[in-house]
Amino acid sequence: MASDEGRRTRLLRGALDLCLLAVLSDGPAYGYEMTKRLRARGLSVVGEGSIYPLLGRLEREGLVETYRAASEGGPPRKYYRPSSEGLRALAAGVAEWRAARNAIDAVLAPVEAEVAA
Amino acid sequence: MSEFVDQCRAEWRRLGVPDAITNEMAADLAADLDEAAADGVSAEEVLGTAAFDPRGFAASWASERGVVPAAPVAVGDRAPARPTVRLVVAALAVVAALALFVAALALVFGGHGGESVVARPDSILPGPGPTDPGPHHAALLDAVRFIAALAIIAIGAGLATLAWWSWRRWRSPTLA
Repeated sequence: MASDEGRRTRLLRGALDLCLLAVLSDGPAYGYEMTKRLRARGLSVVGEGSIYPLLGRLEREGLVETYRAASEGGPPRKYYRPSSEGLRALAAGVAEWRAARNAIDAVLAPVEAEVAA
Repeated sequence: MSEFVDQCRAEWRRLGVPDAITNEMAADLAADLDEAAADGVSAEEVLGTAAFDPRGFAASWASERGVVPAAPVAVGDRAPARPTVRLVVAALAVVAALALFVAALALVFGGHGGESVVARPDSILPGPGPTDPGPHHAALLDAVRFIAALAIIAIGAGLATLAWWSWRRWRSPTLA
């Protein structure tokens, strides 16, 4: 049986690209800014690896667009924003995630009830 | 913090990432880590477990981004020859095989009555005279012709086999 930490890591690894596209749909952001947005929504990437390789893959697959611009009081940064293809992938991925979540919830719900009882 | 970025930079250079992209990634990473430090956020909170493995982190980032040059093709794992090259090789082998076959026929059937196509008898062995080589000399010449014809036919058969093999590979690239 996998440890809780290992399961959480695997679950997040499978959905972190959706999370990045989701926070980017709020507006363009650079790497650390995305980390802050994720943390503000309750998701810490500690232990799950870095977002940078994932951003690299999203860029290579054309799901995000990039541009350089000055940051507030800092050096120029590389900003990311979802492409139109990225937005479609986000919508499709969210639908898949919710379908999987609902199916798993349906299976696990009786277990929760037994534990609660 | 800068040590982490320096190790990433060294790994990108080792992997052959172009300098412009190396500098871009290093600058972005350094700026992010500096901003995080100013916020009181540790590198581990930004990078996760990758904070303890700069080389692995750098390699993963470059690989996912697709900026690592392809590894050189190993000996024994070469890319298959282009079809046009195979076709030219096969055609040349067929032409050479046909030419050798015709030459062998000429040697076997065309030499007794007139000028020899191999060599004048008097240039091979001394004999009674250039116009009368004698029975022993003629038998030796026939043996030489026969052996030469066999050799030419063998070479032609080899070339034909090479042509057939090249043609099969060209038609079916998945064949070994």
